Amino acid sequence: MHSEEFLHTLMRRQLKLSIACAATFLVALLGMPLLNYYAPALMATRVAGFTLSWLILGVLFFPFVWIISWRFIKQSIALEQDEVKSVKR
Amino acid sequence: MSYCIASLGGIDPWIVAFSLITVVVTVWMGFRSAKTSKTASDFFVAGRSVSVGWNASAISGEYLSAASFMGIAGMVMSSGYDALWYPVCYACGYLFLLLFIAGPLRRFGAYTIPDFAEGRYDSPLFRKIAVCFVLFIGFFYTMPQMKGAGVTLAYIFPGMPYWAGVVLVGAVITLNVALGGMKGITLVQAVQYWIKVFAISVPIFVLAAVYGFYGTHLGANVAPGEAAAPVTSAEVSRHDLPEKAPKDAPWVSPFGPLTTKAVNAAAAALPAEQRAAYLAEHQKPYSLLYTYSLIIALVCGTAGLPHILVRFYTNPDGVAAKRTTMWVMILIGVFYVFPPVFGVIGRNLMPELYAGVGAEGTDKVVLELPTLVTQKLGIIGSILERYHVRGSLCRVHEHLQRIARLDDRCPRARRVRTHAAAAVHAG
Repeated sequence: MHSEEFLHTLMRRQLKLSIACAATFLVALLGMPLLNYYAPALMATRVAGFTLSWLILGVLFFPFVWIISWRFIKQSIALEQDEVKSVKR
Repeated sequence: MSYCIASLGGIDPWIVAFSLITVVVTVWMGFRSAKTSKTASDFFVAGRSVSVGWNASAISGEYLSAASFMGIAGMVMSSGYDALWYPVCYACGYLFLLLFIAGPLRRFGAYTIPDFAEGRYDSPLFRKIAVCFVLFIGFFYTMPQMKGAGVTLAYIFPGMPYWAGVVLVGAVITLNVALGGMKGITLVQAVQYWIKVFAISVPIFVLAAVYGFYGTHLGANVAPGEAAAPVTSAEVSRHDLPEKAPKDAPWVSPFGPLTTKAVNAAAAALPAEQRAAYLAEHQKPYSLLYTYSLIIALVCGTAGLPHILVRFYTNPDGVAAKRTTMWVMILIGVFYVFPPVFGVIGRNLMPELYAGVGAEGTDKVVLELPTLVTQKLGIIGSILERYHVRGSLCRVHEHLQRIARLDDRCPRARRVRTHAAAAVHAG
């Protein structure tokens, strides 16, 4: 089995990764209402029939979330493999 | 199709056929899984061997309820922009799950959430508390689903009493769960996701081909600060809005009817002279607060659903659990683009729904809108509509499955369930 120290380092790095990804999506999610509040004219500009606000929230937010999750998984698996390699050394 | 309807005393033969198929397949899958469910591990967590593809489809199928199918469309139609927070926050709740919960939860390796609570924190008391919460959530989840079952079946089969729908769907699902446990359910729900996503998207594409797509219909609403809408009413055959309907500007912009409800009610309680001043000062800030409160509730609520959390245990390992979550986000994200489109098109083409209340009002838009296609395209429209209604039925089914499974958390129910399974094997 792995040592306590190994697990501890791995967990800490995974947590940092999780927090970084969470921060990205939280800034976008919680920033949207602020954008709507302070820049209503900007958010009402038309894009292909949609208002910018509607386009972002109703359509674009989903691919944004998918990209974050894909990057998180890639990096978290890479982290695990990294740690395993460094222990084997 | 009207002669068929007349001959069966008002019941549509397509719907009878679809419904019968759904019931038979569900029960059959329960029996089939009973044969392969031998251990407690099989029964509660499908032997921890569900592949990413099946599991993602099953979780997505399970997650997408009547609320997602019909409710979001109805809410977007009645409240506009603000209702878009619902699907987005559901998807973000899953991201939250992925980032912090999926991997570690799966690696811990228990059977249920109360198991995890007790094991992780070494506390039987915590287990009891977790059980109470799970039952509480389950109870409040079941009530609307039972109602949905009764209402849907009463809608589809005119003449069927409300309670009969509730009992029938409840019986089918209980049978399926008791026999097959998690394996039976996983199969049923995976299939149901694909049925649902086609049921929500195909009518949209057909409607869009005939009446114009998402952006075009949104363009027909006048945003604040615009002199006129970019798309004319004639281009999308827009009907006139009834009195009750929200006006274009608050509907299409943020801080509209949904998030200003509370502050408007407070203003209405004031004497008339003070209202305008009160609203000018408080409407937008309170509505911003409401928005944030909605976001927090939806994201944390989604991340905490016990019947979703327990699904992570059915993956072979932590990496699979994470991958499953990502695919779930993709599958439900793709689904969630479509219900708002129903709401938007419904506002333009069927505004008479605004005059109705509750189940007779905007909530029906998903069921009613495809009928427009029937008028134009005859039989294709009919089939589309029937398939679509069947999609609604699916949701009711799988809701009750989910609730029936939650009872597994209660130790007594677990013993009963295991005895039932054992009896089936012995008999």
